[in-house]
Amino acid sequence: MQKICSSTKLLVALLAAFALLAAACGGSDDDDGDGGSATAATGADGSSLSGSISVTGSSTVEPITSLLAEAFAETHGGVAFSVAGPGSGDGHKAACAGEVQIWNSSRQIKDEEAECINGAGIEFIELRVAIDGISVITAAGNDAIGCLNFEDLYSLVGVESTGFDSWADANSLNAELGGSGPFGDGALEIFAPGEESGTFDSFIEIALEDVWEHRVEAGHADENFAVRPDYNASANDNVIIDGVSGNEHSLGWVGFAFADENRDKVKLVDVDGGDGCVAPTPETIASAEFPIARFLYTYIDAGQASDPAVKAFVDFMLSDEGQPYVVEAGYVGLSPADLEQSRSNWNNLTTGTTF
Amino acid sequence: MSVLTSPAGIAADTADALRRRPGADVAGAVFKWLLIGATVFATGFLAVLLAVMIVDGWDVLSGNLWHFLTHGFSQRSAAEAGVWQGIIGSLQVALVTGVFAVPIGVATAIYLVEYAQDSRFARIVELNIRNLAGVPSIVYGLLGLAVFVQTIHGFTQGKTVIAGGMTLAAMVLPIIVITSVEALKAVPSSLREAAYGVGATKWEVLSRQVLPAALSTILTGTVLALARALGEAAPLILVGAATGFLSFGDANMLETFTGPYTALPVQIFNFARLPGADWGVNAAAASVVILVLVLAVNGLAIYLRNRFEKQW
Repeated sequence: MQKICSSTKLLVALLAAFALLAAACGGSDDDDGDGGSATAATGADGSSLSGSISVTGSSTVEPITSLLAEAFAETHGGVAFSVAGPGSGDGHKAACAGEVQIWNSSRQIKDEEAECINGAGIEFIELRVAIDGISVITAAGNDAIGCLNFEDLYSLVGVESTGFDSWADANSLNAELGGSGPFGDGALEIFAPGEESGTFDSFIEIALEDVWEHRVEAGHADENFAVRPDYNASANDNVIIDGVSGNEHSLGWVGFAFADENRDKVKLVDVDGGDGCVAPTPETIASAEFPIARFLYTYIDAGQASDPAVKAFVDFMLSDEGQPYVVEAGYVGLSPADLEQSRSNWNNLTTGTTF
Repeated sequence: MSVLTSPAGIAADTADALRRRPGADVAGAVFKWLLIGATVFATGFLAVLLAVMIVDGWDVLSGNLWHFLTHGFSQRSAAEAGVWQGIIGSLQVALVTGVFAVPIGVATAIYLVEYAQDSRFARIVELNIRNLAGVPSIVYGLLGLAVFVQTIHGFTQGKTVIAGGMTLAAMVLPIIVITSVEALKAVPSSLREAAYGVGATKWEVLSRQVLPAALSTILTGTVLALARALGEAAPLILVGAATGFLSFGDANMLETFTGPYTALPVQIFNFARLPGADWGVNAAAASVVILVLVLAVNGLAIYLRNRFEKQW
């Protein structure tokens, strides 16, 4: 019995120790917060702002918001901030459930998403924050491919290319569509984001949809799926880069920032959107000259726009001080006209889609 | 072979067996080497994994470890980013998980073994719990999102440490119930009968004899279940662990439990998907950190088992 009593005491002591450890750790969070506040007190604006902001939505836009939040926290240490990036669709869903004040999207909000959010009694303000180009990529040493047009892309990755194991397999479809083929022989390995990704949606909308819809009308293509199902889908862009660089005749697509950082591993293919071949560079994307470019959006719950923390953050985001973080995150800054439109939407609290 | 009747017969058999020994048991030798091969493969695989993580993460582990352990996430550069918030978040989530899962799990096990005994109801419940232990963690994430984040939003305050901890509690609950059931079943019935024999009540038998006897196994199972919870990323991402920038603002220690959070596995997921090789170094280094954390927890489990173990 003596033995059991001492065992029980030890157990209680261990549990208490664990609780204390957690409490001590929690206490340190508090210290971090105080440290931030101290910085704020000595900061330029002497901010004593508090509150909390949580941002979710597109993983593509997440780095921009993270950089902005980090800079914002340096002068507003009292504001609790969390940034997550599960996906554009998840962001709109969270907004519909009233869970967030600010959410990101790598495409414009869909009608049904807007209806859901409005149906929950929430009005949203739409802002454009940056431009992202989608790059078509192949292995760095693949000299056979220099420029592809939308017909080429559809004949290689569209739903009708299902089962094509070689570039040459696509030749008859490519000729039928009036593409730039024929292609040489070579194993066709495709690596691209999965359908949960905003990059997947945007690639379909911009590069494939026109050709695909024609084919659906003509009765050749499946009306439910634009992209062949038999490609290597990954949510991790690094996996796509590795797959593309590791296969000589590979083909894939990822966001421009990602491809641009990996120019040593992959080749960025020129794209012809009908006006000749254009190479993806920061300049051709900002001017929308590159055919596969998309705008990135941030949405704000209009009912929360007067919240001091939210207001201060969005003001900072759209300020001249905040804009360089778009470039730092690897994206391309908005044209002056688009930036002006975003600022005006925010300052006038214009709700609904405006772009 | 002769029947062992005479000393001469025994001597002849012994001599025969001795002659046969070298090389005779081929199947046995092959089997032994297969077992050795499997062991080498299993441990070698782990060693390679560990070596790769340490080599990949070496730049951070050797030069930048203190900064890495004491700073939060930064989007600016991999060198500035650390896992401090992930370590704290993981410990906080594990604490909440333990607070919810351990009492409920152990109580369920006690009821099933000591009260419901071998009833039809107990068998059905136990079978279901065993099946629940095999449900993929992402499914518990969906459950957590629907129930803990949305339905009981008033209690959890949405996507918070509490919601994350409760989600993982639901996930490890079956494991705790199963190990506790096994622990209680392993307590010899002679112990219970002896206690009843000297006039102890059911409560006395349970609290003074059965539970202390089963404690070491229950503790081991519980700590191992918490170690599993420490390594989970998928359900936490669904219930809102932050992958990007995170700050606690001026929240105090208690308030952070109902505030935003992140966890080590979630940070590893985030590091691994960011562009650039230096983020990969962070991912490898963070993997080593979580491995050390889990090893420490497992070490605690071994210590507890040795400390409380009873020999029959």
